Amino acid sequence: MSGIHQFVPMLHRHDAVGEHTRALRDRLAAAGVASRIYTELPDPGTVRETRPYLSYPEDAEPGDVLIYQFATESVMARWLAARREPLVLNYHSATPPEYFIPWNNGIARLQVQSLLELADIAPRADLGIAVSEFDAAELRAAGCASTVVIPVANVAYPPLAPDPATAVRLERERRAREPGAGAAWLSVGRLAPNKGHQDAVAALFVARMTTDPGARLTVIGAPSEPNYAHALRRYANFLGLSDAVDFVSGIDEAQLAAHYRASDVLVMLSEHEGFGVPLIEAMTHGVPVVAYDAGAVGEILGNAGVLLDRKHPRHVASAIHRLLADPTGVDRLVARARERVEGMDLPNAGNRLVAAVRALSDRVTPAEETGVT
Amino acid sequence: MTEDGALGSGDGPEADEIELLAAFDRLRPQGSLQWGFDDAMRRLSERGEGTGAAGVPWEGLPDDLWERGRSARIGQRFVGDVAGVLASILAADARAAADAAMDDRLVAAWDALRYLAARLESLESRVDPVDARLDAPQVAVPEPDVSGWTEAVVGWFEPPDPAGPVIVGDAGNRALVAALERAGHRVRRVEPRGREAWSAFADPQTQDGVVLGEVGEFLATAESRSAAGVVLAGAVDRLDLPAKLGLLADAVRVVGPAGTVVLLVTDQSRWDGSLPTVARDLVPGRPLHPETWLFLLRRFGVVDPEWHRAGDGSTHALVGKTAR
Repeated sequence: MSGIHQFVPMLHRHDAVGEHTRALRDRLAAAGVASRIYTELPDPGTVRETRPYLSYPEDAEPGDVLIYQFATESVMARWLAARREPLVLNYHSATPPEYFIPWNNGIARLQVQSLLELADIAPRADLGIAVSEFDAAELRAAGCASTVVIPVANVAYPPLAPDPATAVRLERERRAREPGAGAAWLSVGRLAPNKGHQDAVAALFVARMTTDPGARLTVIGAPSEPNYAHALRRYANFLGLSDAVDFVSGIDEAQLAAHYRASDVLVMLSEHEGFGVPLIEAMTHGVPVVAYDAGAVGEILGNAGVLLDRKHPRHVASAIHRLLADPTGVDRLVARARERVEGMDLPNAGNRLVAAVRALSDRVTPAEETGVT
Repeated sequence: MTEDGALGSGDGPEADEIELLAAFDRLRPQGSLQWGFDDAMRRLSERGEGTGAAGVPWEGLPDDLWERGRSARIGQRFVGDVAGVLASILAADARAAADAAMDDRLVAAWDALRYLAARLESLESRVDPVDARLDAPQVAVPEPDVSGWTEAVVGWFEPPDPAGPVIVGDAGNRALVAALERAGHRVRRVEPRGREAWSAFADPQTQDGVVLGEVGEFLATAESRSAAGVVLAGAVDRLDLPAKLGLLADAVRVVGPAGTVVLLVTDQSRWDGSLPTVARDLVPGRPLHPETWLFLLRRFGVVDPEWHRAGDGSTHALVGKTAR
């Protein structure tokens, strides 16, 4: 029986691409489509859900459609480009290598390689799926002739309830700081150089020196680039902010929800975002957003948050101060954000993704040559 | 909603903000964007003469490096694997080059040294020859109050040298900087504490700007003979001994011949009077005895350094000029 099968370099749990891949597999299965996940390397946590990509030729059936989940470099890219099955390129935005060059040559080199692979595989893809117009433009620039934009399929909507224990702890900590407690800023995203967490730390420093001496920042994200993560902590200490900046990682979605609910503002100063899941999370949790207008951020946020055209520290600090000094304005933004997220029809994103892939699959009949080898 | 920018800040970042952000950039492991990624990769991948030891050309990185990186420890991806393979390849290449260049006896001596070192390490780990380790105390050394030295420091730098600025490390204390500026010196302040640096930024008298950072790191990258003198306080107390030595070496290098070096140090009794003097010098991250500083200054090329005591005995000044 033919199927729609996915290829991903590694399948990780609690990882945006990994969860997206698993969610799509489940939706395909629910729609009665045979769907397996093939990987270049096994992840011990998901090894039972995957098969080695080199075993696909033994499993191949006429009429198969292959989906490549593209986020980083992998030998699979060129291997897939050389196959003849209809190919869908599900693009998750590759971080440009220049962000990693000062921090980690190995990663930078991998990112260079991923861009070369994108240039090889994009023209070969029968369909490119992007999570934003920003990503779709990158796909087209790489040579993908047919693209469709479907937002991420794995954002919880309506949002998860906050983890009670975390919520109680955060509330207790907030009360312990009163009176004079300042605003609670939140910055969410992997600790990677393109995410711009250091700009949030610098802005916090200025805020504490000028408008809000009690302001605090919680940075939530896995330290995916250790050198950068180490420098961030050192920078905070350097600025005398070791008691004002919390670095949090390894938490689940419910705990993350508790952090959102305990925050006054999401500060997102990333320089390269293909989508910006934290924007959606903040919008669904009723947290106003102050964000730097880069990548897909403006496209996703629209007029439902404060978009900054510059992000130097005084500018960011002032924007946050002005926003939080205007509760009516905050309410207006939060209401707009809820409307905007509802308009994205996120619960249906998975179905739209399945429909787009099946439409391609339907165009392929089993009688066609598929180049099964 | 696009922010209109009417927030009391101009179109671009101001000087203090630029320095604030630059302080983070300096924490990059490769130092700066000028580190030259492309050039480094080119050199790494280059094959040819001159890259190997003893005339043996280095073969360069193998074309299948990435594949070998993956197969080395399947299941763990990315840089760790690749780095491990890279290291083993480099080691193997180096060994091959050494084998080709040296006769068997030298190779054997090389191996013997390695085994001896490993054996020594093993024995040390069993015996633990240091009974009572002197760990760095948890409480930071308070920043010394150097305001009492203002007049004297200005005198030591007379007359102003137009060749370069006076670098003042841990320059949060405004009095000293202001006095030097009043005396006609250009002053380059280096201040590691964010709050103090920010106050210095706000100071309209600031001429040559403020560097937010550790003075040791600043001096390490400063050009030789680029300053008329250096005043060091704070860092000379709180750094561990190797860092103190590096700081002093860089200070002497940066001021060049006939430059003035001033150290403002805290008296050891201010943090612990119970340890004997020699033991105090061994504790990492604590002030050294002024006589130790005199010895070190001489070793680093400062001629006839002088030791001055503060009236209350809380701080000391050590001053001297580098050899011409």
